[in-house]
Amino acid sequence: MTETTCIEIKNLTKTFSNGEVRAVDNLSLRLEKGQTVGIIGADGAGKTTLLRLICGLLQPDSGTISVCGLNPVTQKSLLNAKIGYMPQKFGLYEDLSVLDNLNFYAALKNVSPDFNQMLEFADLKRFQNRLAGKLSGGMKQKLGLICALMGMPELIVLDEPSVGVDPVSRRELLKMVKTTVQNQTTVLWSTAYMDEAHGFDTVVVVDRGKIIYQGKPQDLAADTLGFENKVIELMGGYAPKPSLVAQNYHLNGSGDGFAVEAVDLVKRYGDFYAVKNNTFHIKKGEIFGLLGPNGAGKSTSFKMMCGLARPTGGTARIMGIDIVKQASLARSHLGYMAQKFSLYANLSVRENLEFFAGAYGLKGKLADEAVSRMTEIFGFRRFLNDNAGDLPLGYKQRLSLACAVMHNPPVLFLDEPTSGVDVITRREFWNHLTSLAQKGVTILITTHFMDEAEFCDRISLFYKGKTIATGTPQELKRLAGAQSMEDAFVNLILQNGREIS
Amino acid sequence: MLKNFNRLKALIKKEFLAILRDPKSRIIIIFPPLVQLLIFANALTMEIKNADILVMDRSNTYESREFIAGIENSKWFGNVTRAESLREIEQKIDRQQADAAILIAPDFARNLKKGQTADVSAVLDGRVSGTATALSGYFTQIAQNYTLKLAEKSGKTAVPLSIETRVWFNPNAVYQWYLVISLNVIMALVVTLILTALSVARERELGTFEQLIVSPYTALEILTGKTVPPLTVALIMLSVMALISVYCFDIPFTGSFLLYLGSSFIALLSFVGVGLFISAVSKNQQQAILGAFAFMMPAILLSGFVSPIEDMPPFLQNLTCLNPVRFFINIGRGLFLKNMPAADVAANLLPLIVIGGLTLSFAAMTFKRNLE
Repeated sequence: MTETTCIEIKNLTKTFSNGEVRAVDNLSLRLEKGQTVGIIGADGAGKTTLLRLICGLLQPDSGTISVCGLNPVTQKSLLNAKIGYMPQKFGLYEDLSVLDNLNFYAALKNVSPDFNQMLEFADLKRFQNRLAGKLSGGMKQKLGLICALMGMPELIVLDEPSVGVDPVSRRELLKMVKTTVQNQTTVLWSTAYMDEAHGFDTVVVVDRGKIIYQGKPQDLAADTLGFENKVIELMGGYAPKPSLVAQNYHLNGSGDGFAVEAVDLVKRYGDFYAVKNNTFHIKKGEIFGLLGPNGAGKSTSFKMMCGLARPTGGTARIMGIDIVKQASLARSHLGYMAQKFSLYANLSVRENLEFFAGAYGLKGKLADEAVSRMTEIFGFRRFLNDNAGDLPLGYKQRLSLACAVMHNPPVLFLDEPTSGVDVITRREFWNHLTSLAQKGVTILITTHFMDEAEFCDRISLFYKGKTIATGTPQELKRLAGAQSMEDAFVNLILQNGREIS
Repeated sequence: MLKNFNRLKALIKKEFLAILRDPKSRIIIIFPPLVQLLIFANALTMEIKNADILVMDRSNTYESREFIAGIENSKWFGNVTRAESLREIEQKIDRQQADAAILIAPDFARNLKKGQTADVSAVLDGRVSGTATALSGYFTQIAQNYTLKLAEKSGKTAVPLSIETRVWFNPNAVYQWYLVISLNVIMALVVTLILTALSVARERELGTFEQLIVSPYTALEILTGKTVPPLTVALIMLSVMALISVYCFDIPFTGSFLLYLGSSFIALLSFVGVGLFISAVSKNQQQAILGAFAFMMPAILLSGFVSPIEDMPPFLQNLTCLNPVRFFINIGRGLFLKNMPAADVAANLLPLIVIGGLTLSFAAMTFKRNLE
């Protein structure tokens, strides 16, 4: 261990469930001080376990860890003062105000920093008396970061801080980290965004509890897409197969016309317009992306269109059926996949499939057929009698998709379906979606991944409750004068922000 | 319609599975009835047994000794000992070495022979008012038995008694009977309320509620789906508890069992309405459980189970008219012990129907507002 080493790990192993699951498997790692390190890998590869071991939140089975020259297990209290940790859910007290949270963390770290300056910097000053639970995702993230940064730690550990956060907020976050940390501060940042990881000093690719790559991201590839492909290659590769879901899909009522229409949709809370006069028409077989910063009103629009929220004005039609007037009938044409896993965790895979088959009116032989079809297509056979809650993440996501498509709906509503999902599973997922669209299924999707936005036929960009641009990805990029979708997104938002303010 | 029925069937099946798979719900189904059986019914009795009695016989005649024998032979009392002086009585009761004392006046036998009222005083420990009340009841009964016996023997009419207490329908004053019947109702309340309160709140907490709303189910279907399983569970439980009451606690069931089941169904509907309403306004399971208890506590206290409704201040008496538990306990006691006629059952069912209708439509409304 030299002066310049921040973390040194030797032959670290950590198992769960009586040794059945090797989350971290004989892993060795050495990280220099003053670097920003990206940790990437598939779901369940052991990223979170590794970070928690480094922070002393878990006890290793064997091997040694040294963080800032300390042992995280035996010298935890000394180490605590040196590290700032931000867990996946930001670690905020949602029932306390922004200021209360700051005061609490300051007291915890025994420091008395200048809150004003910090709040100003994060642009949270206006919201300092608001409850943390009532902040938008991007603001929670910034607040969580301020709390983690308090007391000028030598090591900052951020566990997937940008899940479900829009590109503008992500850029702000990165800027905040870069400007606050000093030369000697090390940042450990686990992420599912390849563009984010590509900008770091070092990346560490974790797979099945082992490190399969450590080095400069630029050494792998010069651009983000190439980097993503390289990472996928490292993790075992992905070869697109013909989508069995699409092949077995029985679509009724295809043809011309619009599958989904939003007509002057308005949602008002008191004086505040969450959505103003939103109108768009989605053709059959189109993949339509709803993009926008957190809190721009895209989720509200999405919810109004599938009947989760009642519009203050206007309406939406699914396959020509009014969602307000004939809710039940309109919903029967929908397949829906929620942001977080929302199937019955206590029920088995089979029971979940059976329930959703029944819920959409499949009965007897038809229901049995649908269940076995989904079992075959998604490879659920060995999990059939396991509780859905115990499935590996990738399979949970597959089960959600299976429940959404098993009644062959002509329209799919997908709300950030790939949030927190690793890059290979995402590729597979999009393979299904594009194949389904080719068959004539209409898909409405929200996402924060800009590479996914490229797969959409058309995109509607939301900002402050309004649609600020609609068009194909190429059109939007041209409009913004940008090379990548992410730049287009940020440029268009900033342009509009200036116009409004 | 058939398609919709099929879809409803799938939902009801899912709700049953959800109850059976959720460890919290499972405990709630199995635990309370067991508690009732094992603990409450045996420990919570207000019947006094083994009370220690002092007797001071200043008459010291054949008649007085016969009266004392009546006390000694009673199954309610433990040690019956002689006291020599008032002072001894005072000390022993004060130190709680005795629960009560009986004083027989010197002119006891004389008055009896003359056909006049004979005096027996009972000294009771007012600090333990429950015991005191029970013992006073027992003494009155013993005195009654004694005078009846006396009258039989002499062939004369019985000496008029100044105190006339008669406990109807429950001639042995076995408190357990009342307790078990009321507990059946209260257990059904606990089970139904908690199961229903958890049902929507659990789905909201886990995010599955949105999935349910986006499916073609209507608000009414979801309401039905959430009502049937807890109602069925509670109805089965009530029947089992009724059987246990009859066969294990030897409580007579004098009314119509069919009527009991029918009334239970309606009463449970009103409980379900309250539970679903609580669930529909709760954000998570903790809130739902707290809400359920916030309702249950006053509902049980104001049901006539803990203290008679007639003894409450008028304001609270009026309030009990909103309490479904009160009417259900009335029906339960009536059908078990006094062969309550259908008309009287109906009189108690009417408020239950009103309460049930109101709470259920209220729940459906809250539901619907949250849906859209």
